[in-house]
Amino acid sequence: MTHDPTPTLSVRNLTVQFALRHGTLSAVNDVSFDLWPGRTLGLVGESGSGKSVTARALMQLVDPPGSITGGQILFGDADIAKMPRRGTEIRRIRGAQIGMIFQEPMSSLSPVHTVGSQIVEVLRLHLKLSREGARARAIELMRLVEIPDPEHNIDRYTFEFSGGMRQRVMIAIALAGDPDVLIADEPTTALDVTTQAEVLDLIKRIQRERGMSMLLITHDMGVVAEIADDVAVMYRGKIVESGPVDQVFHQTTHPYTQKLLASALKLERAADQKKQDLRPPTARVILKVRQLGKTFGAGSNAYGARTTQGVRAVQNVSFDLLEGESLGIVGESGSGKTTLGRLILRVIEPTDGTIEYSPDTGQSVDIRALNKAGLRGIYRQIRFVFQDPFSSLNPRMSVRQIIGEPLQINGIASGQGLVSKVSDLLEMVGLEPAMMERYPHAFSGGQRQRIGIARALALDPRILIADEATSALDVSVRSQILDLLLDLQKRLTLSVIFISHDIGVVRYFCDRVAVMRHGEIVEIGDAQTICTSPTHPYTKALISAVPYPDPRTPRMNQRIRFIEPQTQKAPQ
Amino acid sequence: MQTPPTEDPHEMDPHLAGAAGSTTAVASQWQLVAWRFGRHKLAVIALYVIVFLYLIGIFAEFLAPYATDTTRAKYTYAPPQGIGLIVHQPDGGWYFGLHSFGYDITVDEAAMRRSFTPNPDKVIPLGFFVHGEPYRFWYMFDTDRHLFGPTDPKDMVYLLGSDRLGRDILSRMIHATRISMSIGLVGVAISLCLGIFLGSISGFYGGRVDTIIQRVIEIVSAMPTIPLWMGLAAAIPLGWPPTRVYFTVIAIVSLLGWTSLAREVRGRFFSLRGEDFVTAARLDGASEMRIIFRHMLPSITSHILAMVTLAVPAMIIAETSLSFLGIGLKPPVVSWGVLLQDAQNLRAISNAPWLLLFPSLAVMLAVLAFNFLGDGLRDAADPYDA
Repeated sequence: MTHDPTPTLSVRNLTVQFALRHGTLSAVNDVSFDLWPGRTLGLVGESGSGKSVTARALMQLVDPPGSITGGQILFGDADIAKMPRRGTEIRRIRGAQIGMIFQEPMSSLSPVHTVGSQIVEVLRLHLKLSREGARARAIELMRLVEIPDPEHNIDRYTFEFSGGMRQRVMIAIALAGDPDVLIADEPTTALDVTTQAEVLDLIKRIQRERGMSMLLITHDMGVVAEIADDVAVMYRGKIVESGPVDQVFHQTTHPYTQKLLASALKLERAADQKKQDLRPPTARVILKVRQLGKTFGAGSNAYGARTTQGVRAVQNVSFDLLEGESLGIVGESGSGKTTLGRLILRVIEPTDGTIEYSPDTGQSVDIRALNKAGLRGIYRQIRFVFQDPFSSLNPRMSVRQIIGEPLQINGIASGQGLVSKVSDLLEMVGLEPAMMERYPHAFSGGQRQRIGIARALALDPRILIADEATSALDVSVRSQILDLLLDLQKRLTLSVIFISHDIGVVRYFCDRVAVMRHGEIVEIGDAQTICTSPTHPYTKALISAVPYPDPRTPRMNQRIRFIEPQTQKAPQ
Repeated sequence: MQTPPTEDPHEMDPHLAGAAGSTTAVASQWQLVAWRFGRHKLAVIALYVIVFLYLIGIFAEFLAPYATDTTRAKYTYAPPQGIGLIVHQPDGGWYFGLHSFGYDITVDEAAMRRSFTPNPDKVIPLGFFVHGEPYRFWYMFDTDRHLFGPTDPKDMVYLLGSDRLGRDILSRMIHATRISMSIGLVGVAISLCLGIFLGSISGFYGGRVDTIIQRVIEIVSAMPTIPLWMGLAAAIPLGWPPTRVYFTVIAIVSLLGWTSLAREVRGRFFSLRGEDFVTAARLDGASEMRIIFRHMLPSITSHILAMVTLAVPAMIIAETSLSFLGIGLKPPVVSWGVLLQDAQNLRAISNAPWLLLFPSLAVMLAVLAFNFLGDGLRDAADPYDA
């Protein structure tokens, strides 16, 4: 690949500001970069760094109250920054010369039009093709993005497609106008890791073949290492470091980039703490799950006879949780891992199996056989940490009320005693006790997750079920939360069931791992063994699809594809 | 997707966050609602109008120049009188003073009507805080002070005209404001209790409970309202005192008005039920009633406020129609609907259009103001999305 002497698009001193109630906020501040033909620039940053706003600015898509207040976006002879937001000039560029792939393939496609008509619309708009010509071209594009049987699939609706297929349709639409520049805004963030690997492959291949310039926006250092040629690191609206990918990864100069890389690499191996303190060899089983299953929507007719089969979200799941250990449950979306977590506490009522809880004192109980009052007793000993730090905290309650709620309900503390207990808990999770009168929206995602953990710990539980507790967080915050959980687990001898789609997080945190697929556990075993030498072919495919944050050891080339044993569809 | 990045810049270091918090202003949810509401200019104006109307209702006796039943047989169907500021004296001089002109009355025997012509020589001086008819204010203290009126209590002035019995329309409308505006509030309060209770149960439990409550709602809202009101109102014994009739009418109106509130509350509960914080409350061991009333209802208070505001005008209209038809409130109680009863016959309208005009304007003003306010509140209710 050679450097063309002129860049396809160059951004010079771009500034985007949002007029807020109190003054203005510079979301993008004095940003400059070039997109070269045939090369991919990875724009990396954590949430709020301004990377998505930058991408939208390139197409004049920044919505009020935001606006481009300075700088140039030079594309050919034109300056996009000067074009009016709704003018004809920019409309001629959008979709035709610059294509964009959005993060959410679900919401970016219309559910009421067929896939084909959405591609055809772009073709007819920008290339002025005839109806038949556009349809033929659409089929061609769908074949290009590796959608099987395009002649047939062109007339289907988006909701009949999986996430990965939808993203392929988005790519086809972005390519329809035969653009010179492709902007991909977190194109694979909403996808499963195996699907992500395939979509990244595809984007990379198409970009190379067509010699397009690509701007890839992502928060994932692994994705950047796999497919970018150049990297620009954004932090609080500014580009703090940029250069060829190898240079940025191996001769890092800026401390923020170093921190970002360190957090990403940290999750590539088990936590240091894990090496020293192994589980006590005499650990007893605290939770025994046998043949647990859940069938959704099994209908029955008026006489009670079963009419429909229903969806088996979880079936035949058995495992033991030892005292003081952390068990990871890994799987892709739809594998039933979240349902499993909720079945254990009967938030979702199981349809089969037993859940036997054995506290260190007293009888062991079958959670499935308990009544409401008994279940409340279990809720004090098995606590839950939620995925979404935003929706899991009641926005109308102060932090003191949120953390104090379980204490109050269970009659453990009230009044002054409650306040001091809450401040102890806040201190335990690394937050200032003085913050307890604030409301959740005054906290960042990481801080909120700490509040959620404090609430879970308020009742001195024996078991913690963490459902994707770190997946909504930025990578640097993620490792902090994991370290906090490790520390608390050791201090309080907690058993943890850690549900995650992220292999890195599980490898870092867990002693043992269970891999779930289609509602079943396909493999269970020691975390290190599973992550380095898995035996089940699905686990192999899953682990090989995880991008590795080092451009010198790209993993995707040696990827293993797992093919459904039943369908036996030949890979492309 | 379009929201500007608001992430705490000190995310990287949790220990810095405490210090950072003090520099970022923390606005409570109600402050945010108030800010967004403030941007809705029409709604703010509507709010002032409503406050104004309620103030009129509260201080009715003081604001009205006369009582509702002060009659002057001489002045039947007197047209509205103007107000002047400069009094010209017969000697050519003038002085500054608030006044109206008295009427010269001529009786047209054939047409059986009186015609009124203002006589510039009959100056009726007007003033503020004048002595007038004595009344008992708020059932507490006796006084005869009125905000506004002729300085000589024996003079009569009809700024908005008079009715069949020579009663002052302005005074009657001021008194009617109290009844009509309060009917809206009290009626909505009853609807609200029913609506929230049934709606939240329906939305929280779902399933069979929900089915039953929803069918009840459908049946209630399928009933033709006017005949039903008429039936219920016909059951009110004639001998009842006016206050009891008043509360019965409110009860009748609100028994049918709760359905839309219940539906809306149910919808909100359905969407809230799936929120993690509700599951979290359940896992904290909270009882179902605690989850409903402590965790879920506070989340929709701003929505309820908006719904209530939009429900008030329906109540006002309902009362007005009932009273207009003569099956709601009855004289001597005055409401806007009762006032409009006088405008039912054509002769009255052709001779005295002010009987129809002013009470209708009052109803429209109140209903529009409540609708604008409700719209503004509804838009402001969710300060976190935008």
